[in-house]
Amino acid sequence: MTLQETTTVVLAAIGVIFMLISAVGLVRLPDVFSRMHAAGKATTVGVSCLLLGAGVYFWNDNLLLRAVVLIALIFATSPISTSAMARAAYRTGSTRPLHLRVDEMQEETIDPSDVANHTS
Amino acid sequence: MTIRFSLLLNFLAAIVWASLQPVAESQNYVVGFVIGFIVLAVFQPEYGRRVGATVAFVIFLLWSIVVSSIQVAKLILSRSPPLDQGIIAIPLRAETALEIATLATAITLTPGTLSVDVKLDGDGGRTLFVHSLKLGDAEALKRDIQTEFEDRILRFTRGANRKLHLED
Repeated sequence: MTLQETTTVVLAAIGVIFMLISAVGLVRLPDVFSRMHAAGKATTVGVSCLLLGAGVYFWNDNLLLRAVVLIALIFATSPISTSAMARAAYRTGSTRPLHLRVDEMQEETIDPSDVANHTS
Repeated sequence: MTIRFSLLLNFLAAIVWASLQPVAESQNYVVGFVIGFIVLAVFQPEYGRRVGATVAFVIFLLWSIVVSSIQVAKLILSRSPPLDQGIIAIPLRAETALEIATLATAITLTPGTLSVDVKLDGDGGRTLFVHSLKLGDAEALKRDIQTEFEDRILRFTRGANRKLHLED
C-alpha cells in the first residue's frame, strides 16, 4: 500500500471505531446527558476522521481543503443542536435528581412546581 | 484601522491572489491568505497577535477534543462506567454574543463537558451552566474552564491585555 492508502485506511478505521464506541455508549449509559456525551463523539471525532480520510483518498482532486471546511462547518453547527437538546431535557425534568451529584442550575432557572407538572 | 477591517482585507487579498493564478486551485486561497496575513501583520502587529491567538485556540481546542474523546471512550468501555455527573454554574467574563457563543460551542465540542444554558444575571453579567460527565472537583473544573477556555477566547476577541471594556 502507498502512504496515501495507508493514511486513508487508518483515518477511516479511527472514525468508524469512534462511531462504534458512541453506539455502545448510547446503549450502556444510564441517562439523557451521559448518552448525549456519547453521541456527541460520533459527530466530532467520528465524522471528522472519516472526512479527513476521504480528503486524503481524493488528494489529487484537491478535496482535502474541502473536507477541512466541511469539518469546520460541522464543528460550528452540531453543538447548537446538542445544547438545545440538553436544555430541553433539563427543563422537562427527565434526569433529576437520580444521576446528578451536583446541580447548581436547580435553584437558578427552574421553578420546581413547573418541573413537577412535567414529570407527573 | 480596526481588527475587523484588517480581517476583511486579508480575505480580499486571498481572493485577489487566487484569481491571479493561472490554474484555479483551492490551495491558492490558503497561500493568498497566508501572504496577506504576513503583510498585514508587519504593518499592524496587533492584528498578527489576534490571528495568532485564534490559531493557538483552534489548535488547543482540537488537542483537547482528541484527549477527552479518548477519556470518554475509555469510560464507555470500562466494565461499570464510573459516572460522576453534575451541572456547575460558571460566572462569565465574556460579554458579547461572539464570545459567549464561541465559549459554549467549544465546551460542547469537547467530549465530557456540555453547555446547557446561559442565564442573564441581574447586574448584567452572565452565568453559563455546564454539565460534566466526570465531575471530580467542581471548583477545579470551573477554574479549568475559566483559565483554559475563556482566557484563550478573550485573548483573541479583546487582545493580549484582556481589557474588560470592548474596543471598536
